[in-house]
Amino acid sequence: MFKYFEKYGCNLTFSTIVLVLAVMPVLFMLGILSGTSTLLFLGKCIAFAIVAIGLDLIWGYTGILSLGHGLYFALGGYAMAMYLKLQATGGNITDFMHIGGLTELPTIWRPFHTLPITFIMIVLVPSILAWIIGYFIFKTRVKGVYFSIISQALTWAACSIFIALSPYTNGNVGITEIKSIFGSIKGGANQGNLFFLFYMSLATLVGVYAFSRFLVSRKFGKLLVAIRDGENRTYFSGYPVSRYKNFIYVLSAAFAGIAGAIFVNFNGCITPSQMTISYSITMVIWVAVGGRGTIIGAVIGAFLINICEYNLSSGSTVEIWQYIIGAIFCLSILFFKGGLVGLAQEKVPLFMHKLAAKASKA
Amino acid sequence: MELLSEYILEINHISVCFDGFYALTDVTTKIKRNSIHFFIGPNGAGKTTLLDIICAKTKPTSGTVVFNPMYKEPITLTGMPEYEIVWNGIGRKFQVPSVFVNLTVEDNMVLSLSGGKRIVDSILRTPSDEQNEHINSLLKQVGLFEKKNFRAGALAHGEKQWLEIAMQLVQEPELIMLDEPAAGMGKPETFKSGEILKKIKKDCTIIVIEHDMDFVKQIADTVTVLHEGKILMEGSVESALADKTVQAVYLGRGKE
Repeated sequence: MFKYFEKYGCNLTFSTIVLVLAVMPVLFMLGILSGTSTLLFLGKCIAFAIVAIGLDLIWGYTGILSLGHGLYFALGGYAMAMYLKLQATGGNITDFMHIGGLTELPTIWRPFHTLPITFIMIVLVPSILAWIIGYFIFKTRVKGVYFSIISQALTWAACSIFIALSPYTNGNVGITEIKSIFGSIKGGANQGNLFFLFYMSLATLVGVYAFSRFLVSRKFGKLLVAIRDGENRTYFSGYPVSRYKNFIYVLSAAFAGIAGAIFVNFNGCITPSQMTISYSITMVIWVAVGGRGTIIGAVIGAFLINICEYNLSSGSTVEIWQYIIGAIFCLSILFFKGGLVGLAQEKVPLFMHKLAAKASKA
Repeated sequence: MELLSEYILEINHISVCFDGFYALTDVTTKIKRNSIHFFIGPNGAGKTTLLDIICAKTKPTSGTVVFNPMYKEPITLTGMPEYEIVWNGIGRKFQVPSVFVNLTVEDNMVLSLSGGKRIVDSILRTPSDEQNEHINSLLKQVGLFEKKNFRAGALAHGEKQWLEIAMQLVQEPELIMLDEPAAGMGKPETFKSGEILKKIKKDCTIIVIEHDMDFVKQIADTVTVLHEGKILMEGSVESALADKTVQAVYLGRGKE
């Protein structure tokens, strides 16, 4: 029984999380919980968990610390928001474009008239950008902290561009006043839409999780760890390492794009603040606290940190919250390299053995 | 098709310059097929640099390395990415044992199997029964079969050496380069390695860098003595041991 838990612990934990989430809308219907804000918040957490899984693949498994995944998250988010905005305006030119001096819909907005193309763009735009960046960085064998710095700088540049191009992106304000893809999710009358959106997002999370677990359970996943632990040896075992790195980088960017799109649906707007460096680093903190290199750790970290933030960062604790999260990050890096999952993996077996020993004594 | 050349590797006029310092100067030598070829020499003689050049870890300033695989056209290795060199059948063991410490002994071997190096393959393919058997027999040969499911990082230094050698063998290379394979091994273990290498020689060619002269005497077919980036002499073990200059620059130091 204990061995079983060791082997399937991750999947069991994930199933539990999914079940708890799945029950949430039911609690609303039964009237046990009221107000849709909790559900909106949990929906955003689902998006965060998806981007965290991608980050875990690239950082936890492959050892490449990207401090710029906010960029891909925001790109997916903007792609979704552009479609939703066009739905809201009936396909016409938006107010901020008028103000920016445009007379007709810009070309880059045109593909976002239809949902299928939008879905493709959500995945494609972050992927292609990540591929181009990754191709040059990994081919020239830039690694370690240099990669992190470059990823950060690029995110910063992209953020500035999005603010500067305000006729196209509405600058600092971002794209606002949009509904979800299933229509309005605000208010009691639209509860059905909200529930549907929530379950679709949850299904996406399950899909992303299952796909990632599949990847890391194959030889591919072992190779990612091999690249992390001994890149040189991997080259001389005959693997085109830079291609592998680029593949996993693109995949994690695609996950981030999907996550951004889900986020926009629940959040009701997207702004360049989702593209900032601090936002990108927050994502890294989720993975670090939850536990690197486990997939489930990323999910736990994303939910836990955000739930804490949601409940603690109101009123007087708003200012302190940043310090708390910083301290948690430092502590987990210094003392619990494996994060919460690592801690559990280490302590639970010890505890179980003690229990077993006690039981046999009695 | 006939066998093209009795030499598997031709090193032609290789020079390497690191910021004005010549690590190797105009090194030319040939490696005979199915032989055990030793490179010996004092520290800093350029032995490891030479291996680095063969497997493309370092780019030479001038010169070429040509590989003559069995029943195939000669291949120029200089300028080829390192993983393609591995695909062509050249394996390399490093001086510092470099195994994947967070993977099990078995996984280390699975990753080293020849073929299936593309992304699609590593996602979709699993090792065949034949390959698994090959892994098991090699692990038995080097005495790591019982530790198959151990984390490679938990192995002793000597065992890591064994594992890395086994990882090279599982690729079934035509040419295998071992950088100080006996470091960290005791006398009996070193002797055992030698016997294993002698057995392997039938199927591949082995280049070894080693300081342990007993080990050299035990298995070497040809010895190349390097000194300050140049070839001092080349020949059989006996002739190398008898050579006055070799004694002066290298062997003499070890004698009391």
